[in-house]
Amino acid sequence: MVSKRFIAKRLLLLVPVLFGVATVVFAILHLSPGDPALTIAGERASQAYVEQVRSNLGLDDPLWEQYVRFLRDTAALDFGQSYQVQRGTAVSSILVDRLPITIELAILGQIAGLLFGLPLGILSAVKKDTFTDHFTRIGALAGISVPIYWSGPLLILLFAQIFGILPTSGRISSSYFVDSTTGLILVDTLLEGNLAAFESAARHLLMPVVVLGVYSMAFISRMMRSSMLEVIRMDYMRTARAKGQGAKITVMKHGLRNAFIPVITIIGIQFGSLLGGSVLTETVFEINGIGTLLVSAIERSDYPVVQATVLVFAFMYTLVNLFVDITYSILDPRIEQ
Amino acid sequence: MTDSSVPSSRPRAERYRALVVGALRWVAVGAVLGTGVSLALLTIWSPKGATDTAFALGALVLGFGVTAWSSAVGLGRTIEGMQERLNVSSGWTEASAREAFFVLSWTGAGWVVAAALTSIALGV
Repeated sequence: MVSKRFIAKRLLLLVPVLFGVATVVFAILHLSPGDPALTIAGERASQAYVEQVRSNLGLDDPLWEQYVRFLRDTAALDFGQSYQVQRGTAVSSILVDRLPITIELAILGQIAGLLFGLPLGILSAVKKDTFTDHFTRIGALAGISVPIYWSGPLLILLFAQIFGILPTSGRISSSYFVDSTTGLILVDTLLEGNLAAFESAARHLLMPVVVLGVYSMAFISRMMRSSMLEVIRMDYMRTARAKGQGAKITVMKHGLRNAFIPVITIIGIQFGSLLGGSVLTETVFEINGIGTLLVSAIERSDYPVVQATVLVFAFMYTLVNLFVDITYSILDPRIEQ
Repeated sequence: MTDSSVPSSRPRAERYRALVVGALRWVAVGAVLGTGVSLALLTIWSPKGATDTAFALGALVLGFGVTAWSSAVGLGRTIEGMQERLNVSSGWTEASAREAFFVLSWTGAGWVVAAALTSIALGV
């Protein structure tokens, strides 16, 4: 059983992480070129109008005052209003709309990575130095090395343009209208009982999930292989086989749980890459998640949206790692000590 | 003196005292840097531009330090284990990372406070 003290300690770490991320984002935004007041007022606006906009936004205050105000508002979960992306709309409401889209993509990518990465890693370890092992290792290396902005367009070209079997972009065909109950398109279509819409959503999400999942799969299979190889050499595995237990049962019954422990921590760490990858994936496949929101907010110097989006990413990443830590400590109670 | 260089076997009060002294030392270094950068930038920019830029640079140091310190505390052991398993150990350890980012965090804190005080002193 995981102790409350352990969870409380991990939750407490959220405070410095979010403070640090908020401070870095604030600093980078104010050091980078681009003037939000000018962007809002427009290139042709008079200098007096630009100054008035700047004053209204509080951007003419000393930076330390803006920083203190930003920290105070963020602590109260008030991210302000969008300057440009959806002018005047509360940033929190924009995030509520867009967040489920990215969460769905990241979770599906993670599931794909686990579904293929774990068996491939085990197979590679069990069949060490055979053709299967070499093939899997090369595949993993390729998966880690290929960037999303290359694999995404390549898949679009192949499956959408040449074969014409999958759609190029979006989350669902425009001929379907689905009420947003959870914001997760696959779940919403199922809740409505609309199987044709579900199929359309699944077809739309297939390529983005593959692109996102390949990196995750490659990393997990590599870690699983190395961890399983270590476990296979253990005395208890040899003993189990010596007692007449079949090789497959020995690996699945005794090896898997122990080999899985280090892999779990990796899943948490590489969830950050998955979130980062979702920014590129959403851009390539024109999915209106939090990733595309971040890109358009950066392009338009929309400070509140950028700050809130990055904070949400940091929060999600920390929460996933907390969940991973808890799972880890259940599988291996020594970790709490 | 930084956090990981203080032996944990010492009495708690003494350990906290050493941490505070270490933090204050790096805050002082940060304050000198923050004031220095603000004054140096004054030679090329207006008082607001100079102190704002100095503050943002200090905030960058502070934010990076705090984020990296808390990541080292939270994920340090995992990263050490991962390095070991993948045979890619580069000598990076959780303790050394905590020590480095402790220095960076407090230097950044001193820096932003100094830049803010310079801004007030210049009447920005």
